[in-house]
Amino acid sequence: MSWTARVFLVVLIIFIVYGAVKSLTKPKSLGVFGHYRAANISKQLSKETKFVGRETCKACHEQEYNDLCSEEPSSAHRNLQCEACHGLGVAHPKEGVALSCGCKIPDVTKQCMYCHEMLPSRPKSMPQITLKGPEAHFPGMACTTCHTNTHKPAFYK
Amino acid sequence: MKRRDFIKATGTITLAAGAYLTVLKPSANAKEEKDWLNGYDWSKHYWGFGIDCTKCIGCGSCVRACKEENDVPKDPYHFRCWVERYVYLKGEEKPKVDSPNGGYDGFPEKYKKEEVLKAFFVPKLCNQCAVPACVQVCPVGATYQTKDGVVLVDEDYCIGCRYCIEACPFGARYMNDETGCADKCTWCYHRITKGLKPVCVEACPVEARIFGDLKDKDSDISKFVEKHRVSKLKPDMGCEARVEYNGIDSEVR
Amino acid sequence: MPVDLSLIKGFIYPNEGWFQWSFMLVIYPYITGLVAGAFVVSAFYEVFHDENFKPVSKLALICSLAFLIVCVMPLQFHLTHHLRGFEIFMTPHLTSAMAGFGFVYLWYLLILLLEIWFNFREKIVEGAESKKPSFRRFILRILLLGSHDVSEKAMKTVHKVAHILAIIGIPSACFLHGYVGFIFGSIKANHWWASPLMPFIFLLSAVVSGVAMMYVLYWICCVIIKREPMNHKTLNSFIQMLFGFLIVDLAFEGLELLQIFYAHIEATEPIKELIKNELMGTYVWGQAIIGSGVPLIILIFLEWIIPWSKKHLRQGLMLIASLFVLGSVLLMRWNVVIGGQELSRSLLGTFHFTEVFGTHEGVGVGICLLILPFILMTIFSLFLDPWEYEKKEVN
Repeated sequence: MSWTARVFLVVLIIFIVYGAVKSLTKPKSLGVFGHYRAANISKQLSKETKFVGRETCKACHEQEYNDLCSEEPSSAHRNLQCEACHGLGVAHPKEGVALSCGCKIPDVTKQCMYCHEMLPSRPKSMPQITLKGPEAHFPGMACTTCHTNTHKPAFYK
Repeated sequence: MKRRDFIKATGTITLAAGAYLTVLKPSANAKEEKDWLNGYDWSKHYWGFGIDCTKCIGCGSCVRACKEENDVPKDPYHFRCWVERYVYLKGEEKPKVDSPNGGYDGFPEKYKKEEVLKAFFVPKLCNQCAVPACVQVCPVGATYQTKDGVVLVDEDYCIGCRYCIEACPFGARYMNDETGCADKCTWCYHRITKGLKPVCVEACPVEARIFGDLKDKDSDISKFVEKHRVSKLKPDMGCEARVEYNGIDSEVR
Repeated sequence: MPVDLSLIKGFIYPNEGWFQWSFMLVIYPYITGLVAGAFVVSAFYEVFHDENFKPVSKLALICSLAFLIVCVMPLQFHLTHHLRGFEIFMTPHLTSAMAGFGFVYLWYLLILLLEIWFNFREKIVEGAESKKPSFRRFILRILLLGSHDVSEKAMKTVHKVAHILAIIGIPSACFLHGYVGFIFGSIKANHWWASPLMPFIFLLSAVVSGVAMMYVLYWICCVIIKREPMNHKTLNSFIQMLFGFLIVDLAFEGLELLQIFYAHIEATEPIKELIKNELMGTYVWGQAIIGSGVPLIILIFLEWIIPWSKKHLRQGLMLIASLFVLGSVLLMRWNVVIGGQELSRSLLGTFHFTEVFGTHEGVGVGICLLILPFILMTIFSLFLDPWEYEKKEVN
């Protein structure tokens, strides 16, 4: 066999080895649905959910739940989820540990101001106050001084 | 003679390799298609997401909840979900845009009320594009589109080349330094496939986020699209973004 | 790596504050460009039979191989999962431009290896038959593939195949580097990259940098190592080639800018801001005025004003022009790769990226990777000996 032919034989062998390695290293679930590993879908589907929803909280915190869902006109928070303010509760009901943000909100006024601080970009329908300037709404006082029940906050006009 | 030798040798090797591959070829379909889906039927759904910017108050609850639910690093560089603020000042043509820490800490009072002509918040998340640029460019197939319309990232397969992050016109992808993989919003795929809503939708206090199944005509999202004149982000990119926005203007990018 | 958020001008998407493609992605197209450029120089002799490039044609092949071996290393280094990187070859996702690069790369590697194999056939036989046992002889004997045939008939076939391979090699080399341009040019999200002209700009600047690199190597061989006196016809061919390709390259880059500014697209104003703020130093001054202007003036002088008799002056000036061009092309890669990411995809702002030294994708590793091809080239030269051949020819 001539030298030139041998060179191309070497090339051919390289191609075959590549093909073999390629087919042997292919993940099993690749190509079941498309060019990706179907095994990953199973993994995605079985990920743990951490936000538990307020119906779960109700089991222990019935009073707070009833306040929150109350149909009284003063209860403006009736559409809120507990975890929107208190942090996600995945580990909490199971193991009795504190919620990720702390079941007890560390700075209530700050939490209120996330939604109720006066911002020009907020829709007008949202009740808003400012703690600074001439229009300040009782600056220096905690919100809970007057709005005692934050789950069912009284809305003074 | 020489040529015949060559052909003989080549032929033998090809045949041997062929036989070898046929025997050892992994049986890809050993598991049934539906077994990979843990009993979930993805052909029955086509998920849709809507955002009503006329309602958003920019409180950042969605951002905080999302970071908890999805283990997103809590620094100002990684977001699956973030909120932008668009403010038009009087006498200025172009809006001022900001997103301090993605809205995680809410928005500071930055502009005087009298100076502001109009302003609104725009929550952003992955658009789960119908023609996703990120899926197209992934060199190994570590990101893919599911049949129910969500784009997912395979954390065990991503090589970390970050081509997808560069290719996303919406800046929805980030590098997760813990896994060393690209990561992005999945519309909480682990929740929606269990019949729950994405965590940002649950956490939103003003129902500015709407989620549902577009195949179900009575779902929240179907009604939302029916009721409002919705628009999508960056139609010029040809990605066919799928998050429906109500109450934004053409300056929103 | 995180960006200094206080340096943001305007607005960027929050996720853009983490910088993705840094120095490794700058030197990747740079090194790939040198591969293509060096091959084109060699092809001028191998395919077009321009005798003036004969002294460097074999060296250019070896240079091309050395850079080709290194050119995927920056990509490997910048990955976060280095080992998974081989999946690009094992389970390539065929719609991805980057997966396509794997095949373009392997194809070109194959062509180049074969080209070298055939081109150096005489050298290999000669070295393998040497009496003194050495490691070199051992390696060359493997490369022989058991045939010592250097008869006239056999060599005729070898030259014929080498010629065909060189012809296939030109479009392959051009495709290799044009393709790198396509990897960037096809990202529609980035307005500084997305352009159908990108492959041509990358290719032309690659040829320019390759010609400059080959001249620098030729200069080192002639002046520092003193293997042979510099052939002034070769020098003149280098001058003409660099001049020609530089002009076409600048024309294409200018055209790209003209298109952006004249057509006044959505991204025009943001790109103006980008050039004014972030790229003033590296683009306007570095790449355009100093990096391209200075060599252009030098080349004009060399072409029309400085007489042939002033050999040493011509050699020296051409060296300066080549070094400036090499710097300018590196800056061009920087301005494309880093500059493109410094412009927010929201088109509402720009930010500044500060290069880091230490990490696996930092400047330190990058500099090592830029030195590595020269070491490889030296090793290959020791084995394949591209010199002696030239000596014989000169004599």
